[in-house]
Amino acid sequence: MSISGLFSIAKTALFTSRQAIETTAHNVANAATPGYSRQRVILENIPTGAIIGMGASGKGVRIDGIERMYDTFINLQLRAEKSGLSYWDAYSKGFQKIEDIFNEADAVGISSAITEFFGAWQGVSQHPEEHAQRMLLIGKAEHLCMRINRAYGSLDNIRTELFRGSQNLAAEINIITAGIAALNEKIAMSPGALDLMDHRDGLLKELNQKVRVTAFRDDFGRYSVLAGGTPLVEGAMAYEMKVTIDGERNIQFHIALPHEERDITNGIIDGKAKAIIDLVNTEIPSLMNKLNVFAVNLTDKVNFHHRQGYGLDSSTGNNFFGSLATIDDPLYGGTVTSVSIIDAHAFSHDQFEIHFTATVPEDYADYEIRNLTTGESITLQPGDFHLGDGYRTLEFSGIKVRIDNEMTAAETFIVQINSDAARAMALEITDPAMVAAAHDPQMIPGDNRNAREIADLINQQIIAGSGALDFYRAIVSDVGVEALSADRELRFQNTVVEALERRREEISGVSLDEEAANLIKHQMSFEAAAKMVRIADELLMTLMNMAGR
Amino acid sequence: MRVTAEMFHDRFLSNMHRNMEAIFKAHEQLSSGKRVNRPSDDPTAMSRIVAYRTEISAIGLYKSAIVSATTSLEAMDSAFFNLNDIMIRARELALAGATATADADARRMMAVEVGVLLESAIGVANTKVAGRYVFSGFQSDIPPINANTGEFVADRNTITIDISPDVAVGINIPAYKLFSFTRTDPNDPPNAILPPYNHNFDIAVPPATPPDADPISALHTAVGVAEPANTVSTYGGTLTITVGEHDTTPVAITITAGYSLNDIRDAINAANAGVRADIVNFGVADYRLVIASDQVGQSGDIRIVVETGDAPNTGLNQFAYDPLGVQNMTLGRDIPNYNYITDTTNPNFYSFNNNHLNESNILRALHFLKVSLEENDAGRIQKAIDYIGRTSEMVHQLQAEVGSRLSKLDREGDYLADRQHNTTIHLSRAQDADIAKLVSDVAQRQAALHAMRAVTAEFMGTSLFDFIR
Repeated sequence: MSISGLFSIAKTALFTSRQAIETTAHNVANAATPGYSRQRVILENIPTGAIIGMGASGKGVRIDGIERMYDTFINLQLRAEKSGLSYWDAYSKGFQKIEDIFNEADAVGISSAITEFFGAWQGVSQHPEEHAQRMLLIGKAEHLCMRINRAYGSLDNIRTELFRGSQNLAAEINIITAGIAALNEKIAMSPGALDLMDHRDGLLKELNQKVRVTAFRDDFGRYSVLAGGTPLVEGAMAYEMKVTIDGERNIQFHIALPHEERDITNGIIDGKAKAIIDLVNTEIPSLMNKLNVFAVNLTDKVNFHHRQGYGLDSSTGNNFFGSLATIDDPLYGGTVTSVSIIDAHAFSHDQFEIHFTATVPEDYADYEIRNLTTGESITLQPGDFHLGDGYRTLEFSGIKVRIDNEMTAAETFIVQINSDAARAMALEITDPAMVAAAHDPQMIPGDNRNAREIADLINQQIIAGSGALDFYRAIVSDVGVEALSADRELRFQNTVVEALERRREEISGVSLDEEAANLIKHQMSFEAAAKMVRIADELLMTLMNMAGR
Repeated sequence: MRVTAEMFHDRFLSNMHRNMEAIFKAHEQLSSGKRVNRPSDDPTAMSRIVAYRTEISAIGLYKSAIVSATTSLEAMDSAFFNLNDIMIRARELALAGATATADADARRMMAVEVGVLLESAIGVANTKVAGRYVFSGFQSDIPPINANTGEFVADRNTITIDISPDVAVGINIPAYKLFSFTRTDPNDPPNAILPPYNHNFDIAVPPATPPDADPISALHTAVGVAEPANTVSTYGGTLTITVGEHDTTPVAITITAGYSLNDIRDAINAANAGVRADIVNFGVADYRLVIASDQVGQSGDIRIVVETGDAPNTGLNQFAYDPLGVQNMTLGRDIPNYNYITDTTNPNFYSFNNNHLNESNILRALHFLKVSLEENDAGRIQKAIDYIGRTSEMVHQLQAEVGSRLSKLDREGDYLADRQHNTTIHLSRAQDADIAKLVSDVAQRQAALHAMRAVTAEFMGTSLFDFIR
């Protein structure tokens, strides 16, 4: 070992210390960078090359590598939970908007509109001769229609908005997957690029918030990313995600694979995409459906009674609201007087044909029913048919049809409950004098019996087995429960993510104190190495002087 | 455990957000005064709030129904008070008029006053509250009584309004109960209620039986006898009497040879055939047998079949009455001297001419008194006292009914007020914010937030770097 060897050792020390200080500086610089994993230099002594019996010290220090402080498992978990977090975030945000539509905290909600509508009928029953009461009723009825139209329209708007959001989401996903594919390529070429890996992990995490994906690493360090079991990224290839909308305005997510376009809607399990799917394809249509049931049945029942009454102008047979069912009824024979929904879940907006084949006595077997939309035949069961005094009711496919008067042989009706009924709900009569408060045209204006009957509908089970207000209250409380549990889930998910973030931070986070301590340590060792150079120099000087004398 | 500044930062942020959110929510509750501001704040409470609010609004409506019903019924109540006063005054006048000291002039003066009473009675009957005639039926825009004829022209329906989900109350009393005549046959003269003295209704065909005020007709023999005790039937025979086409039990009355009109009357009255026979003096030496149905208004349906050896159209044959067979008796509505019926329970007791009389008709009673006074007819004035007494009874009955309706309204009003109070308390419990608790919560959270801020600012501001020189 020569004195010049000392220079060499000191040089390695100076070099590694500088490198270590650089790493520390990089850590400090990225202390606030999200997703950054702190880096650490791994120092290693350089052993002496020769083997000498006496033993010999080594040749200095070198850097074995720079390590990313990174826990794969925690990061995996974090990605999954963050995906859940963004699901609940989007879901609860959606329900917050829905909740605003059904907010009954102030006395201006739909429930008040319902109460006021029936209250106005009661008012008419108290003063059937008063024009003002009738005007008030028409005003209240218009208000009720408007509120229901608006609630339905708002739900539809949220749905449309969410669809647009899903298009943006797909675009964002495509940018991210393209980014991952590009990084895959770079990382495969330079496996030591720690910061690129951090960057790619960041993208993956971001992607997971949009849609839950699974990722695995191949031999070249590249990530393959699957969404709903279908590849989104394979090596350097990213496949485009697309969103489409079908006839029922439900949305579908597709991935454009090289040879096919695969629908992954049902495979998506978490992330914002799933929240949008749930809201657009399930939750909002179900609420819209309930509003339709409400509108159809309320309209049907009020009209049914209203048609039997007489207005101040002796007019009769008028609908109060515009009918929300399309009925094709021949002029002769029986008359369809009511089409209502009895099962809010089973009914559809399909077109039904009712054909009467005459036998005596009339019974359920005389009716042939066919679903014209699907083409299937429906067999009426004895319990689905009820023959009353001058009318009969038929129950099938979640709806109930009432036909009055004598049937004519081979008579055919077509009934259909209009889709978007709640949007179409509107007042039909405009003249207050046509409000049919009376039962008897001779007994105008004091006859209030029809008005009382209609006012009493609020106490009857007119909406698919429950009262009008109860039905609406159930919608409100369902929305409330859903919004509340979404919010709770969100909070819970948040604490889970926070805990994981903390654990990730524990391992990967930059502690400034620690870095300062490292800095001091490495600075000291740099200074010490520098001193070593000087001492080596002095030693050499001493030798030189000896020789010079 | 390795702790980094980022962890402090994150923890601080999330805790601060939580605290801020709690304070925000508390603030929202404080500023709105409500605990539940959207369905998700408390879905079950929201559902109950909707129910309570609906109930309160329904109660409000019912309360206004009660107010409007009370207005109508109170107006009716005072109308009945007025009617009562009118009847009391009429009775006083009748009593005064019935005394022997009252002469024709005095009675005429009284008749004028009774005429005024009659007019005010019609005015009362046409009481109008909030654009509605309270004594009308459904046709509430029509004055129930024609002021000229006293005819009840409205319908007989009671307008019912709901004053709670299960309780309804009538807000009118169709005046037919007091002023009960309705023309059911166009042949009835328009002045049927207030006919002139001894007015002769010239009606060929008896009208169908009106529901509660029936023109009384009776059968009478076509030819009079000079003396009721004289023999009528030479050979005797049987009279078979049925009343109405559904009468399946004809009563056969045996008439012995040599019976006089008196004997025949007694035989008929003894047989309980559903008819009553009277002998009425039509004029000088003109006594007729009058047969009327026991039940008011069925005289036209009496059928009498005669079997006798007497010559046709004479003797017992005079009593035959069958429009499809032998019809010797005459169906008359205006039988002279048949009006002084002594039986006070007889519906015809108060009649002028056995026509259109009914105990509950106030206008009729007043008119009866007026005409009797005008005509200086002491006997009828005497009867008018009793007649007015009876009609007053009807006023009291109806007044009692109005009273019971009013007390029903009162009770229901009290009940609703009680329920409104309770429901409001429930609503407040479900919805209102607990201000005291919120204020103390906010104060507590603010203190915690303040401490957290101070400590974090202090701590996060320093690191080892500060000490590197």
